[in-house]
Amino acid sequence: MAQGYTYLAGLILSLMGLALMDWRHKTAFSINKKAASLAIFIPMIFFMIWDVAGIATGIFFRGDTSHLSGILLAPEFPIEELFFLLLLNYSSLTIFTTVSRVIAKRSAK
Amino acid sequence: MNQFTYLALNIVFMLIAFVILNLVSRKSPWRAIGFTMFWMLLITLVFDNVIIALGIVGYDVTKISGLLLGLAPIEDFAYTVVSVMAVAIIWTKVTRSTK
Repeated sequence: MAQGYTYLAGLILSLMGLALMDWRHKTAFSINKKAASLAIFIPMIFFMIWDVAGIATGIFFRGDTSHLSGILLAPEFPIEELFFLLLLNYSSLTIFTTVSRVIAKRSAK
Repeated sequence: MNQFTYLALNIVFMLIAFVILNLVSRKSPWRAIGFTMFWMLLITLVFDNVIIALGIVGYDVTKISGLLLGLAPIEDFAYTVVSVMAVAIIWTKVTRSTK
């Protein structure tokens, strides 16, 4: 029963790590709330449509459910996918702002 | 619709994404995008292998190319490519216009 939440818990833990880094090192929302929201949520909507198309054509599907909560937003579309897409884009943004900062620092030397 | 492969699906969505991003962006920070892409692809390789090994996601083997990196179908990396480009381009655009 509790095992059904492994994936969701892992995703939320990872998101908390990113949020902590954001707060401590100013990597996304703490720099510009509006830019971070748009940069994360617009691609998220796009990926959800992409996912639905992949599910509708039968290309990928929910696997063995023992690590999944069982909460579905649509057929074959588990709630975990929402958190995954959030993690994907938040990670991209965190690494991008960090890399940009390193490049700026080096070229300023 | 049955013969529609993962690769074909990705081509459609990547084309849509690139066309939109090309309209939005001017002077994209390609150097930073390149480094971000490298790290994100590496992280994806680890993450994707773990969730496939745990059986969280499954694929119709007749619809994927069969090119695998560990357990991960090469097609899965399209999500990462689009994520990095879209996130970086939107962020750059909005931060420039709000400063």
